[in-house]
Amino acid sequence: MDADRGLVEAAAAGDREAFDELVRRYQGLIVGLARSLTAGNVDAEDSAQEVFVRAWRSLPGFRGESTFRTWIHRIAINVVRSHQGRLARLRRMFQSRSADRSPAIDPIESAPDRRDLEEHILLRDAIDTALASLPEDQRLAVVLRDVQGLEYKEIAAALDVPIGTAESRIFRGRQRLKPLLEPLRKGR
Amino acid sequence: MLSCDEAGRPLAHRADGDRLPASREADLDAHLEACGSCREALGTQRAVAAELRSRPADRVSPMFARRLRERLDRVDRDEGWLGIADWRAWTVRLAPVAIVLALAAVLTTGQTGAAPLSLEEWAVSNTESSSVATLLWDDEVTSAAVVEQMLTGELPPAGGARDGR
Repeated sequence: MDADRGLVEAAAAGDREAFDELVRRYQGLIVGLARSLTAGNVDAEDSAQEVFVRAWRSLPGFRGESTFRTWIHRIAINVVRSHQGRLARLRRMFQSRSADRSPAIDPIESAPDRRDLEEHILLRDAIDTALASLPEDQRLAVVLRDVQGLEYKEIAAALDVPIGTAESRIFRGRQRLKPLLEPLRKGR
Repeated sequence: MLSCDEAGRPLAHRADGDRLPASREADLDAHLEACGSCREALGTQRAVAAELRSRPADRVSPMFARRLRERLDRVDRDEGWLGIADWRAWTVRLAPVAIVLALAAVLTTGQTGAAPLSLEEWAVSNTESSSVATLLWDDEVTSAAVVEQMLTGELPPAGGARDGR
C-alpha cells in the first residue's frame, strides 16, 4: 500500500497543496540522492527542483504501478544522469579549450580550508567521495539501499532490473567500499 | 551447497537483517559454516551498510520550497498559454461557428439563386451593400434584422428593422 496514494491522486488532479506536501516529504531524500550520486559535482538542489518539476508535469500520467517513492527516485536518477552527462560534455569542451593554458583543477579537491567545515559535512563528503569511486550501476544500487533506505523490490523497480541483479550490485558495491571507508572507521 | 558467487545475494539480505525463505536460510547457513571468506564478507556487508546509514541527512535550504513553487507557477502559466495556442483545441471550439457560417452561406446563395461571384465581382458588390458582418458590428441592428439579411441577402429598409425591436 502506497502511503502517499491520497496525496498523489489529489496532486494528479491538479491540487498544488497536495503536491507541496509530497515535496515536503521527499525533498530531503531527493536532494540527498542527488548529492550522494554526484559527490557534490552537480548542484543537488537544482537537480531536485528539476525532479519535482518533471514529477508535477508527469503526475497526470502516473498510473500507480509502483509507489510514488519508487517513481520519484526513478525520475531523480534520470535527472542526475542527464545533468552529469551535460557536465561531462562541458568539462570535455572546457578542458580541450584550456589544455595548453592551465591545468584542470578539481573544484572538490581545491575547496578552501575544509577543516572549518562542520564534522557532519566532512563525514558526508567522505562517504560521497567513496561512493563516487564505484561503477555507476553499483553506486546507484548501494545509495538507494543504504542511503535512501529503499527495499530491494523498490530498487529493482527504480533501476528497471531484476531483483537478483539489484541484490548482487549491492553486495559487490559494499565489498568494494570496505577499504574506502576504512579511514572513517579508524578516525572515530 | 551454495557457491561463494551464489552466496553474495543472500548475504546482502542477511546483513540487512532480512528474513529469507527457509530453504535459502538453510543453504546460506551451511555455506557460512564452511566458508571463512563469506563469513568475513558478511561482516564487511554489515559494517559498510552501517557506515553508509550513518551518512548525515542533507539539509535543504529554506528557499527550496519557495523557489519550487515559483517554478511550478511558471510551468502552469506556460502550459496554460500553450493550451490556448493549441490548434486542436481551437479547431474543436470554433467548429460550431464554422457550421453556422457555412449554413448562412448556403442559405444566402440558395435564396438568391445567384451564381457564385468571382473575387472581383464580390469586391465590387461589397462596396455597394452591407454584409452580414457589417450588420453584426452595428449595435443598433436587431437580431431579427441580421437573420432577415442572412436569409434574404437583402438589407432591411433604413430605420425599419431598427424600429421593429
